[in-house]
Amino acid sequence: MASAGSGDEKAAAAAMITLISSDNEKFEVTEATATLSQTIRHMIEDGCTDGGVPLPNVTSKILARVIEYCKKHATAAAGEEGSSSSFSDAAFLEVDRAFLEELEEFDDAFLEVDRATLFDLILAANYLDIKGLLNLTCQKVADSVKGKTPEQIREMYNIVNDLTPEEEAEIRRETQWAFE
Amino acid sequence: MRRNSNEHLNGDGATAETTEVATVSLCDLPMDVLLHILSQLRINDAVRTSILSRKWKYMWRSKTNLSFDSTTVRKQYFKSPVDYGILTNMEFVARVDTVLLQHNGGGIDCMEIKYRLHDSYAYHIDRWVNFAIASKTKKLIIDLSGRNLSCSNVKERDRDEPYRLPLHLFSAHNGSYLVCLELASVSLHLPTGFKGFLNLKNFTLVDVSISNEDVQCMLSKCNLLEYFKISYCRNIASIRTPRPLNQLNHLVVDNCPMLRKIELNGSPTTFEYTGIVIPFAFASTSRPTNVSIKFLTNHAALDFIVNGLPGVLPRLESLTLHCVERERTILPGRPFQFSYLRHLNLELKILGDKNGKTDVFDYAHVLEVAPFIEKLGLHMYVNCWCQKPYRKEDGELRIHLPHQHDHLKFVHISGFFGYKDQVELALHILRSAVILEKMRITPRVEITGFDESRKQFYERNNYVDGHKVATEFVRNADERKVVEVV
Repeated sequence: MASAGSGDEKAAAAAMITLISSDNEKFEVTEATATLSQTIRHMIEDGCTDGGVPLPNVTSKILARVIEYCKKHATAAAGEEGSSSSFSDAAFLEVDRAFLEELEEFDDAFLEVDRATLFDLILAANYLDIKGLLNLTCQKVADSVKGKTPEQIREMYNIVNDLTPEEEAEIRRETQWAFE
Repeated sequence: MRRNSNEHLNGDGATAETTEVATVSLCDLPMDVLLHILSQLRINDAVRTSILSRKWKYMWRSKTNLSFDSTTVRKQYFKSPVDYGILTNMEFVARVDTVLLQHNGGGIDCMEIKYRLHDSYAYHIDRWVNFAIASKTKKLIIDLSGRNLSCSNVKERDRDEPYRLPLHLFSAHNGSYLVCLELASVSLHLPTGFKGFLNLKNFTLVDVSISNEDVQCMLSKCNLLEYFKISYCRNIASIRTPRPLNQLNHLVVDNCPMLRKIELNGSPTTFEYTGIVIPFAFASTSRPTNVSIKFLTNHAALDFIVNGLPGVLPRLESLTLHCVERERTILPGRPFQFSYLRHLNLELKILGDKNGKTDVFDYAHVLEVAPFIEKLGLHMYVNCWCQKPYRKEDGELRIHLPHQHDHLKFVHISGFFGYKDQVELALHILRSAVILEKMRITPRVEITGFDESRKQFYERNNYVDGHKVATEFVRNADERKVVEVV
């Protein structure tokens, strides 16, 4: 007799979702992976995922990367639920810690992309409502801005300064403390 | 001055950044994403974006999290030839005022003030609290201890009257948006007729001047409260709740020096306590299940487990117990068995004397007391002049009849200095636990909160011997290859 546990696993494995990118490429993913996206989670709850989920705002190149992220983090989420509540013992958490480190390395490597790809990932994370990915990618942008002069930021991110010198002087006066 | 600051800003990575041709503009991102990025910037960095372009001029004013402390509000952000300079209290106040005045005052997710200020600044702090109320702040943190500063002048702080929170914060309407409230080094007096914070789930008090009655009132009137932490509150003698608190699932009581009793009607699932040995009473014996207790006064852990806990917490699932012990425990003939206990983590500071009053081997009884335990942590620090690393010449090792244990899978022993009783205990567990998957032994002291320099001292003195004894007498006696000495 199959135990209840293996039955559940089978059911979970069977629940596959097809995601369709803007350039019509199909990606089969597990429900656990797909539901890291709140947008897709709601679609599943509403029962409108038969025949695949079209994602007209996401290209196959970006979707592949997003799925890569979700797969990695879905296993992490499952691991967290499975592990014992808050038993704070170094040795017992050794495995978890190693896994978290691995996850961190994955995230770092994941962010090794050019700025255009980073922005596409941000837009996809925002559209698909994947909180972790949005935080991760936005943090990368935030970190790149930290401690930089306005000139440096403008150059990095193609921002045209349309303030008149008077306006600029006024803003500097108002927020002088932050520039000291 | 500009040139100067540029030089300081051109830190590492700046050159790598500029090699990439800017093809995308930050302005391509939608407003909600830009606000998200702003929320991940410190206030000073966020304010500086106002000068980027017209689009950015007012954007930071919608920032939903505001954090003011000594790292985000500084005298200078760019290091002068000397240092960053020292900010005076009035300068700090003026900067917070400036930001709050310019901010659009829209819904704030988190507002945080961490700075050493006392009641003579009440006029200003009241205004910030009013801003938090008006902007419907969900998470409010007011920590006026200045702990993140290198403040050495404790005496002076003791003289200062702590800031007293304004009464109108506690009116039914004003506090209704608060979900999380953390207060440190302030004074809190509830107004009569306090109706509770409608949505408060998370409440933390550290070094807060508050009465027993007001704590009781807070606990019983905030119906959605899930997490409550009380720490270093000097006036608290008892924590009681008159009626069941169904939502409260996590209670932390930490170092309240006058506390003599905790009596809860309905109990949290998770309970953490640090302090002297005091009586606990929980109305519902099915909870708490996840408990962490750190006794600061002498009390043998084994004695507490066999005599103190069964009546109070019989259905424990996970227990971390930190004790300082000087004496052996006399075990009852038939000790209580914790049949729900799966994880046990013991932190034992054993201070022996010449009479050899303590005996780690006593902890072999843990296997009887916790027959279903799966993970066992035994973290020791043994300070006993008469003990030496075990050698064969020291006499035969004592052997208890193995107590067959069918559930124990992981054992972690730290602070293994190689003393005889430690060897005996490790061997007993090894023989008894029939499905053991891993036993990790290390001579390093791994008790939480143990002073780092002392850890290093003991590592220098005991690591080599401890490792040698563990390898020779425990690992070499292990036929299943589950022992790992690190």
